[in-house]
Amino acid sequence: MRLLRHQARKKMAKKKSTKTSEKDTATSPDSPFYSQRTSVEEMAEGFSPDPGSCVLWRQQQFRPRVWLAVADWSGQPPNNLRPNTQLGSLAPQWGIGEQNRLVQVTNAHQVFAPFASLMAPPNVLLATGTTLAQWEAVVWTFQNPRTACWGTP
Amino acid sequence: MKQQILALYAVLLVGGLVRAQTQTTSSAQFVESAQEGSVVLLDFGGPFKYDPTSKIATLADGSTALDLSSVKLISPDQDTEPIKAAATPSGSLGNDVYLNLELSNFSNTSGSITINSFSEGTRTFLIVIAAKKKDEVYTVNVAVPAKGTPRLVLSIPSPPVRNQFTVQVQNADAHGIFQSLQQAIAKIVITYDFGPDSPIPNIKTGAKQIDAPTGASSVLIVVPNTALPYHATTYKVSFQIPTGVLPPSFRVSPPAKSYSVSAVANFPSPTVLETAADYDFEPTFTSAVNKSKQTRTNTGLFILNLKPLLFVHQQNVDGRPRQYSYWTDFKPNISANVDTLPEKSSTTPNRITFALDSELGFTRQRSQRSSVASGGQPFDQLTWTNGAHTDTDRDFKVFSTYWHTDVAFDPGKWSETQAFRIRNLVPAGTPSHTPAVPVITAYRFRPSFGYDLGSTDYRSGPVSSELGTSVSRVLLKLDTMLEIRKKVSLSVVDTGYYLFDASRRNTRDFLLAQVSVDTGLLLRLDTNKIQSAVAFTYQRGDQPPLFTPVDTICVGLKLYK
Repeated sequence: MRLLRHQARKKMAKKKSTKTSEKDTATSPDSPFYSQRTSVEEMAEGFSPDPGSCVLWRQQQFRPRVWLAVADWSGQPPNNLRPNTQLGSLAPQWGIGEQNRLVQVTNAHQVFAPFASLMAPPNVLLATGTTLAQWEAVVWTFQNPRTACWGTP
Repeated sequence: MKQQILALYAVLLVGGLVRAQTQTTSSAQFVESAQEGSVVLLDFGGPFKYDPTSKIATLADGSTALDLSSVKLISPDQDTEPIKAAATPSGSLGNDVYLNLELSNFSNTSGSITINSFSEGTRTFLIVIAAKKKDEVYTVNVAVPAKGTPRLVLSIPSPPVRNQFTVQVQNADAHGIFQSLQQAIAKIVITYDFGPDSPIPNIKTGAKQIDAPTGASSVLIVVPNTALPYHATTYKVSFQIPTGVLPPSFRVSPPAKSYSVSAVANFPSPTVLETAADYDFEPTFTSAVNKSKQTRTNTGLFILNLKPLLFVHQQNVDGRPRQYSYWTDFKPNISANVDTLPEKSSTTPNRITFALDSELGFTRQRSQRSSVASGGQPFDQLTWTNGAHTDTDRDFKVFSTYWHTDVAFDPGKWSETQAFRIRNLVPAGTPSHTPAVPVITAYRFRPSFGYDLGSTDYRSGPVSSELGTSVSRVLLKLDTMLEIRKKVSLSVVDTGYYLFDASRRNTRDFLLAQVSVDTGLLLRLDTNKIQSAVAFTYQRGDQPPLFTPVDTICVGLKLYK
């Protein structure tokens, strides 16, 4: 499995070297936050969206991915983050631009995998004091299209 | 056995030999899934560091180290022995840091057991984890419903979505429940309970619409008649259904007229802004100098700025590799800077501007050239503003209408906010410390350049021979700010103009310098946080539309948001 992942990263690295304009931190194999992109079919395989599995998926997969995306966006090590860390404290100037980048990085991390959903960008500017726990809830609320686990507490 | 359990409970709760420590933010959830069976998910209220060799978990603030090799569940109201559980950290953030703890494989002295094997109702268990420190334990409550009990679980979305919530159907036919609720929609009662401490009365409303579950989902979407209101503190949302509406398997104990499920809503108004905006009002006492007449006049000067931010649309945020993402928004704004003196003798700006601006912003991806630990390279941002502006004097005698464009550049760390400057980030498992407040708690250095093109109409009075009736000018603006110790702000905004059509003095300049001392929150309302400051302002130079000389010093109260 590891070998396959390594080969896939190599392939991706080759592809990316030919497209110099398409550089992105989360999709660069050299990035510490790199996460490999997989197809929807591969992702959905073996996942049963019963209420219990949805809770486990949300807590054990969705949440860490959102945290890792915030770490990637802010350039902070993930273990520096707390649920009450404010987004405004992670970017020199919090504003629409930074919110834009955070949504972009969150989607690059495929936080809703195995579902092929993305986070739709909120049409409002979140306040500087928005905490990481609140951001988690915002990402969950703005899933698009809604996953079969929508409504999971 | 029962006596032993009760004795242990008494020791845990009363204290004495054993010190019980419960973190208020920790929580536990019982989950029964098709794949993993019965598990309890424990959230310590933050990440924890886990040492797989010693099986010791250190909580984020470093206050407690727990021995995960010894986790027990005890039930105070049942004649049962303590239940052992296997603890596995889950939700990995890398480097042995995890977000939650999964408890599974429950057993007692007679072997493996199912903790929810009772017939009906919900039992509360106490999870007890031994701390590394002697005579200290960590406890969390978990509610476990009986196996296979049909129930509804309410879930509240996050702001800014306030017009719906979800009801998950567990261990029952979701489509059947939907049909029943749909038929009795008028009988459903939804209550927003703000608690006894809130001066706001509770709101009772009904359901406007219920959406059927889609696909494999077992979730109903409920649209209430009254949207979930903003409230400074969390409040309880109850969803009440008359007992006759639901199948008999939905037992209500003790018997009641309605089956009720509730959840906590958290909609504090400042968290998500529907219109992020600058609001600023300054009544001031002003001393103005008229250089040509060699006179000084004292007067009242009023400064008002209203700049809401509307219709934000973000693009290139689908997660595909991109070098830039961009956004658009609409920023109508009104600003006024007027006094009460006759205009002929006044040397205050006396300018009122109405503007309909739209912004196009570009954000470059963060560079990874510098180390992750140092925060990486900051963002670069470019904002291009275009809009229709009308400048007029205080008496509306002269109207200057023009198209305005400008480009502002926010590179690197040329500006930093207070939240960023005084942040306190420490690795998980390390004791937190109060952040040292630096001398400079925020700063801004924002250059921009632009161009105005339009014409000036004179409703009364002669046409200015110097300025003519056309507007064609280049602007160079430098917006700077320095905040000291979170209390004192020094800001200087200088705008230079080059007037192509002026018959003389093509270059003009306007300087606005201000020192403001923060006096804290003046009014704390549910929907607004208005701050106040004592402000000393100095204005000098020329400003559109008339470019009359300005030379004023003001002292006043600044109300802003």
